[in-house]
Amino acid sequence: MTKAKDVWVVAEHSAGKIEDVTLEMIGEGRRLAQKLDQQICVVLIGYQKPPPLQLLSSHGVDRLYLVDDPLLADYTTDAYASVLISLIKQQLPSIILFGVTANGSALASTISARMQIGLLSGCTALNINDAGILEATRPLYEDKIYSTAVFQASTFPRIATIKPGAIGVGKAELSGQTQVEEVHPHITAEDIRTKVIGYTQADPRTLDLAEADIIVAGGHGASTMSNWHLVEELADALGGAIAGSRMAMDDGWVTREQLIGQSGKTVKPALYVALGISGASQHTEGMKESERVIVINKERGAAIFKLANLSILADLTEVLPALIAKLGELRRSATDSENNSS
Amino acid sequence: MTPVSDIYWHISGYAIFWILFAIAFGLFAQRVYFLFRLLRLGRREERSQSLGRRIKTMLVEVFPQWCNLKTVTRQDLAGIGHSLLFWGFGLFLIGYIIFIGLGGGFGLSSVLAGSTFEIVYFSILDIAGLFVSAAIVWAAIRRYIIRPERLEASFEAGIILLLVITLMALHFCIEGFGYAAYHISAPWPPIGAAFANFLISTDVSESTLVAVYKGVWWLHYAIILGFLVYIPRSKHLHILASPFNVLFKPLAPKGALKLIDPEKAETIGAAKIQDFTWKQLLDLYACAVCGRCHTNCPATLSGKPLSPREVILNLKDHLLEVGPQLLSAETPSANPGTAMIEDVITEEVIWDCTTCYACQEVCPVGIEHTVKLIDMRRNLVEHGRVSPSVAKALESVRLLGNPWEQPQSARLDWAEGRKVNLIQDREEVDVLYWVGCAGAYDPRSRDISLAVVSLLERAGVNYALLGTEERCCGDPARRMGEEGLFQMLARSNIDVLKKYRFNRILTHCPHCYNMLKNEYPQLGAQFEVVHHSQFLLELIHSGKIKLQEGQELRLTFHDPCYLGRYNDIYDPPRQVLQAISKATLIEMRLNKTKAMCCGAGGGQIWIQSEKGRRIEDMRFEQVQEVDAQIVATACPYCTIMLDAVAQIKEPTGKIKVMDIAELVVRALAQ
Amino acid sequence: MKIVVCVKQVLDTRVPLAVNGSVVQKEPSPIYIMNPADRIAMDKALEMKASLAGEEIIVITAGPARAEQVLRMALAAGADEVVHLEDEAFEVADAYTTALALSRVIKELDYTMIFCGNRSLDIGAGQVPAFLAESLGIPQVTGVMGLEIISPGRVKLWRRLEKGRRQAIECPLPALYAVDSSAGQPRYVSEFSLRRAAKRRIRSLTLADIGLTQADVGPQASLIRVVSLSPPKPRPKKIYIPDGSLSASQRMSYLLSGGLAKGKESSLLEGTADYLAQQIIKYLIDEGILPK
Repeated sequence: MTKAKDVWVVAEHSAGKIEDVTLEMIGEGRRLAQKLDQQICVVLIGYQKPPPLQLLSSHGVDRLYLVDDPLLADYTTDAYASVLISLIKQQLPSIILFGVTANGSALASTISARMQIGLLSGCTALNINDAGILEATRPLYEDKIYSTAVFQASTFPRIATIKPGAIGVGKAELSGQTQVEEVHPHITAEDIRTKVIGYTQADPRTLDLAEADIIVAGGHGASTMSNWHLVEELADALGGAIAGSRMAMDDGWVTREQLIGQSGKTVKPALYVALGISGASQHTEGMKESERVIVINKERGAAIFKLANLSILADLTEVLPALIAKLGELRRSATDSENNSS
Repeated sequence: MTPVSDIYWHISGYAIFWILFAIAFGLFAQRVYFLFRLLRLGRREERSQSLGRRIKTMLVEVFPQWCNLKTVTRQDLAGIGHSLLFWGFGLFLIGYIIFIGLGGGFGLSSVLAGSTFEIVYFSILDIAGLFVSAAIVWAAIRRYIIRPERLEASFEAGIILLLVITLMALHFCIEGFGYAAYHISAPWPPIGAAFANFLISTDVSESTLVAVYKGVWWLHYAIILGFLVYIPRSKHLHILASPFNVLFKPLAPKGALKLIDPEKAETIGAAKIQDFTWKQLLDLYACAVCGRCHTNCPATLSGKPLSPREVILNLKDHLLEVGPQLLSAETPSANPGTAMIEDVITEEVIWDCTTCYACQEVCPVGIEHTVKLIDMRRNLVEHGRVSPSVAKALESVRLLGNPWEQPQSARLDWAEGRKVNLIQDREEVDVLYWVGCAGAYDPRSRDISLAVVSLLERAGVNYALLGTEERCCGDPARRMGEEGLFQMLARSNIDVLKKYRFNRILTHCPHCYNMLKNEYPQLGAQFEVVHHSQFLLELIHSGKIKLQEGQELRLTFHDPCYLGRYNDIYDPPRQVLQAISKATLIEMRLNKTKAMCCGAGGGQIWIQSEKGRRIEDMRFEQVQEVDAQIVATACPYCTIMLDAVAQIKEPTGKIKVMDIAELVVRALAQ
Repeated sequence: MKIVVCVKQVLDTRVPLAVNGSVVQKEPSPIYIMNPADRIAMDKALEMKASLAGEEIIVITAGPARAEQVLRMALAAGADEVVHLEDEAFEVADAYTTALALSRVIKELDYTMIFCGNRSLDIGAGQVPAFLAESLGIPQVTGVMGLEIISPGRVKLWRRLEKGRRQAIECPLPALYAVDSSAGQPRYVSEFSLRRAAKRRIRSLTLADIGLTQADVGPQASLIRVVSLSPPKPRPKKIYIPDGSLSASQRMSYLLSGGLAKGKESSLLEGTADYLAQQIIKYLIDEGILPK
């Protein structure tokens, strides 16, 4: 169409690991690239980050731009925007995808503002329609209304941010070689107005429930001396936050901050595991918007089963140890294979 | 002859008498004046309307001691003891005025001495003295040995008991030594004469008797004067303050809050002690530290920091502490050093109250505890100092017209699939059925609304609903201290109601009932309102609803606070229940005026105090104690709270929580 | 010196919404609120004012006439001054055009900090902060959870990252802070204080006052165009069916042990602990919660 070529994905990474949203974007980006007969590239900005070439190749990434500089060790809007814009001006991509994350959103908005180009943010799907126009599906009004939007002007690149979990990570079964292009940007400390002082990590157990992707909640059925540790162990095994119903709070297993329900918090995690919770409306009010709900309860008629995507009728004391054990095995074999492959 | 007419070390007895009196009375008056000035620090309030009626109430409450006798229960007979004390000591007081004052100080003893009047009166005093002494001993045993929860084994109380019994003892001594010393023998007064005879029978010399008599007489006088000085400086201040407190009791419906005019109010609610009205401050003087409020308060009983007694006493201490500084301050609205809210009364305590009215119902001297707490809430709300759950509920009421975060357009969803009459479609109806927010939005309470509607239809009542035009009556907002929001809702509801023609408003919710009937008139409304317990009884009595033959059910009734204590409606729901059950209604120990709150009122269902046990758990245990199959309720909050507990404590459904309307539906003849 | 707060009036999403040309509420009269993130941003600004002397809070909104409501809320909450950039065009303006208009107003002010919400409840593009910061030439910090004055001119902020992590940043003034809606609970504003605020002055500006026309902020000037709106299709609840890849004998033994309830409606899984654990893990892998 124009000189612009290639679909780019700006990678989200933390603690040396590529976040799933990047892989989701790669999948969506590849589909777009194929339709446009373009390549799919990933931009990885940072400092001394070992590129996960195997992973990228298996997802079909054609090229990796490895932008490396000590001043890029921490995310700062000024530094990242500056280097990305100069790369954009050099390479002229047609489409750039960012994740809806703290840094992805900030970076995308800044690119949009500095280059005075439109940004389609919070997309759950992208599509080139029959007229060849890039269309985005974006939920509005807290996911209560869906919109389809396009760019008004014909400026390039087209930039969009993608919501994590909307597209899903594709299978990593492609073969091919990702080409690496190292980029050494010209930035100085004076260009960066903010200074990163440090980071704090939250204990996934006591994480503010609003930020947790996975929540493991215990109710009356779990609130006994002999059972509650299973709730905690499952939360550890899944890397989830611990929560509870009013019963669990009254029995002292969770604090007010961990209470889910009408008198506590309302959450919408990617996964909600309800253990021994009957499903009184006071509780379900607080979690019914969860993306996926697994219910384990031994009462067949428990109201909470109505909300479950996966319903397990079982005794917690029997199922949970088995589940925790299996999750442990999986984790061990995953680290083993990681060790083997590196 | 009294010892007053003697000369002591060249000083006339009269001089001593009157100098002592002047000193004591001076100290007494100074203190009373100081306390009076403190009252004037408070805001103005009109409490003299219907003075005749007020005086009559005061006379009935105080002299026949109805204020105390009404608090007597099988477990707590102290009211009887106090009444005996009061009457007995009252007689003594008259006696002091006549015999010490007139007889001694004014020298009229020659007229009185030996007179029939004196003999009769002293005989009466002897009997009274016995009763008073017995009451004191009983009181002391209770307070210091038995130690019931509500009484503090305090030093001050001990002094007062000691003083009174000493005065009784001295009275007998004066009689005994006096008669013996002056060879007066007569069979009356009974105890005095007996004591005198005993003394005569001993070998004590006449001079000794005279000396002891005089000594005892002056000691007795001194102690009376001492008591006079002590009264306004101790909790015995209640003697002076409580009759006035009863005189100035609110004539308004029970628990009704005052309307604030935000234009005129300098401060909204109460942030400092002077923000209370003078009557609220008078309450603090009237407290006799009886502790009944403390032992009847559901918050206290469930282990929460709130104790109504402590609130009153802490405020009193605070007033006395900062009073002098405020009196000498430049402006009356100066800020005392200590912050009333948080230093004297913590925010936690302010929010613990369910406004159940148990404290006020049982208080013998008419203290208004809930009004003070809500006044403080009003100030907290004004400054945004509310918890997130309270803010959420209030914002929901403001924007959506209900505290449940549901849209106004969904107010009729509960009636989906059912044909109901809407007033917008009618010219005129007999009964406007006010559904209320819980009845419209809460899953459990919707069943109550459905039951009421089916009964209205069965009985052929000409009724209609307001439908989606109905907005929250304002009870949660007002009780949580958001007076502005209440006024906004009330005005809006009154405007809507005025558009339509109906005879009465029917509601199944006592909170809505209380608001519409008792508090909306403050904003110009005059509606006739009936609670569904009363209405169902009418329908049953008039035969418009026919019931099956009564079943054998073990039923108990949980009195809703806003139906019972606030509106004195105890019998209609019971009569309704009696009509459907052959078995006698089981009464819980804490019932009627003593019923324990379910824990939801006063906005507590949204405030959710964290400490202590849950009040609804405790109430449900009381239901379990009487081994009832069904606990009948007449309020949606009570139903919600008790039902939630029942789901957990009796998951098999052994005890059911049901509204009376639901029970009547079940008992309908086919 | 002024602290500027930018707020937006949005439809209350607790109330059912529908599409009728544009997005509307199915209520007798529409219910609007101040964007929750903006509300928290305003609270944070008021807290800043409390710890700094001589700062004034000026709250600005760009919106149609009805947006006055949020400025009344701002006054009741403690704002010193409020400005209404009023035009019907703001009803449909996008982030770019809104920020353009706001920057014209803010440029004239002597400000140290600008607070705004990270994203709005309705469109939620989260772009106004970036556009605003760029056009004013000041640094921006997004996802702000908390801030603290270290010394005059130096502010420390915490940015919200994923999974509960926080990034601590130092930022020189003047700067723009985009506050995250979870950074606090909105401070309650009483009805009486709203009533008092109803009597106070609002400074009103038109597009002409800031040298713009309706064309400059209208749909034609936007960078993004909405092509269609629709309510979401009800997401079919994905009921999990047990593993069809189990061997026949495994399925038999499962059924014999009293396993799966009959009938399509019920998908209640029962069985041995191991079987159930296996099914849960398979579900988690399929759903991408666990790595393959």
